[in-house]
Amino acid sequence: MYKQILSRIRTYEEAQKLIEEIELINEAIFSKESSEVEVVLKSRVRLWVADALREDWKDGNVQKEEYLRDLKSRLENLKVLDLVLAFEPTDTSIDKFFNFVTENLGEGVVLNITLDKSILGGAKIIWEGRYRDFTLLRVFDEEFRSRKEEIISLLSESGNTSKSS
Amino acid sequence: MKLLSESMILYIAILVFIALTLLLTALVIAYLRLVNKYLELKEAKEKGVDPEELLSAARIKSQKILEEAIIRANKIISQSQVFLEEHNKDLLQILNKVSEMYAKRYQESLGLVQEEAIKMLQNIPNDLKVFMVSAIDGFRETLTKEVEKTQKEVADSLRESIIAAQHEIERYKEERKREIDERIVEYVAEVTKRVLRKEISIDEHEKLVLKALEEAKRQGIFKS
Repeated sequence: MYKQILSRIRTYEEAQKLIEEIELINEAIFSKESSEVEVVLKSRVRLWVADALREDWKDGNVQKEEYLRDLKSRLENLKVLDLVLAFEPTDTSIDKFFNFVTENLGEGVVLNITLDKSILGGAKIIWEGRYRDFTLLRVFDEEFRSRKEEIISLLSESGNTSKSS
Repeated sequence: MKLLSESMILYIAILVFIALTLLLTALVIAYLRLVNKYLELKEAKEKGVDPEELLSAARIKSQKILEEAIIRANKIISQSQVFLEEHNKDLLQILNKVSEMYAKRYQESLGLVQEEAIKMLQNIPNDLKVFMVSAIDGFRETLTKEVEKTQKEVADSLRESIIAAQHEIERYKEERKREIDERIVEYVAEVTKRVLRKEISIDEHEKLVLKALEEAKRQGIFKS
């Protein structure tokens, strides 16, 4: 139970989206109309989420209300790995990162991805209060700082060369 | 002159004093004789002698003594006058001699002083000329030295100012060059970043992120 749904949740954003959908379904459960839940599943919830819920609810013994509360609780308690990236990741990119996380940190972890193009490449990583800067910008700045004199010298030389020619 | 007149007055005073003393002595002797006569008369009276006779005899005697005394006094005074006259003559002679001597010497000294003064007056233009020439030479020399010193100081000061200005220009140039170099480096860095942003593909981005995750794992930040 929940495995099919939770395996699809790779990011914090996706988890929040799912929590919103759960709340909508929950509201439908408490409405007077018994068909209201199905209406919500068809019209206000993503297809894969609706399919996964129907699959889990096939067994008539499942208490939908309890199921949803438990699922919401699990989603709210997922651990978050913050990643600051220089590009907007594709679905494939997220899969690659998520697979790494699952392999190395286990299940129950989602990625919280934010975009900052100034970092050029690489990532800033924050995990359980620990921060690391593995950005291309940091490497670039360090390299420029350490080789500043060399670069100035090269620029001067090229300037002199262009003048003499 | 004043000294002479003072000594003369002293002589006269001594002579007058002697005359008066003699006169007084005569008077005292006459008085004593009179007293003696009075006592003799009294005694004679007591013995039966005529006092009238005694008195007249005493009167005659005392008059005689007085006359003698006056004569003697007059004699002394006349003698003193003679002395004075004689000495006055001597004194006048001496005074004249001394005056003549002083006058002569004064004339001689005056002559010498005049000669010296003339010489001095004659020498003044020459001395003054020599002194003025020397003073002007000294002044010229001092002035020349001062002008040279001032010229040197001004030249040194100018040289120092020029050197300082050159240093300042060099420093400014270096500073500006440094600033320009730093701006160029910043600009190059910015251009490089822009190029990198454009040139890095998604695939490369993914690889960089996975590499970052691997590095984080290697550094142990995923360990709980």
